[in-house]
Amino acid sequence: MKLLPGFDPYDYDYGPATSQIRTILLEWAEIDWFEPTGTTDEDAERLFREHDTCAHKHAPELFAERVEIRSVFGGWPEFSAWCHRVRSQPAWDWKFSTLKKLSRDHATAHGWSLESEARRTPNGPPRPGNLFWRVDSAGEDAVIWQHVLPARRAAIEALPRPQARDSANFYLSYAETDAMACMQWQLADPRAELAANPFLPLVRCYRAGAYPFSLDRNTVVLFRFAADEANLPKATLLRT
Amino acid sequence: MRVTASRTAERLQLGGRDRRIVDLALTKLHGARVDFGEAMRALREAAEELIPGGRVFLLGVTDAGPIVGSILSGIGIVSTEAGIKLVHAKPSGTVTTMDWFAR
Repeated sequence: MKLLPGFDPYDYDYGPATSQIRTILLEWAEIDWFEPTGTTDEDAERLFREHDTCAHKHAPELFAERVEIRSVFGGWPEFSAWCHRVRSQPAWDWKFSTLKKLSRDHATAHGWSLESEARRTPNGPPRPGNLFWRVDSAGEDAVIWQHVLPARRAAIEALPRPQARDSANFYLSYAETDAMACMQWQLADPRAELAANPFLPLVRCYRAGAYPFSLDRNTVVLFRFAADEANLPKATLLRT
Repeated sequence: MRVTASRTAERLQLGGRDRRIVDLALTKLHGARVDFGEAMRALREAAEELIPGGRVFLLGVTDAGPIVGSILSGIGIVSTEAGIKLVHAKPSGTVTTMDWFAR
């Protein structure tokens, strides 16, 4: 299922990082969520290693120099089980333990803040492609992010089972924070190459149909949805 | 609008992270009369203080007004004529009113 934006990124100006932001938004729109793809183990692992290597370079205290990657396949029951596994981990939350800190520290190091974006954020009703929303309040600007990514509601409701819907919503909401962090990275440092943005390989993992589940600092499972043929009982695949 | 500072989020059905953010936002407002922008700013500051890299988002606009809150949980605030309400914007698109945030 693809989540299409309700706007054309080329209709919006995102300042010095405009080109990179448009690229991120367009790559996000290309993701065919929760579908089998032709991605190989090697391709998926390479994308995740790109992320980890880049993140480790920026924050070696948060990211392992080399993570163990396990590639697994399955359908919705297995995907939901992995979601349940990482949601139940009391001591480790990939996003909150590492990725959000990486994003915050990078913004701080580059002096980026929401207030710095307020200057080019128009006051007034929100427009769908704006990254921020600003209102005047008690003589000051109040600025927050705008959830610019496509709504996931219709796509999630189309899923067959409640457990699948819950897992898809959980996973998508967390993946969306990666996309927002990816854009923030470029806003904070517009001169940086997009290829050096540690969040971009995560977006590309999703686009490749590889869904990371971080079990701890050193271990990641890359889940891919299996095509129907791969779900057949093994006995039917044996030569007769 | 007056903030119901005495009404802590512990009385609401919130997850621990959301509860702490809402409680801190209410504490920041000290029961003062606030408009939606001030409530929004307090919520944002609370999220940033409690979570490294914490963000609040404009989640959407309802008939009542804009919803500002968490992408992850859908917990947020919305401005109504009677005051600012704490709501749960669910994946299904329905918005459930949980309690007053400020009035």
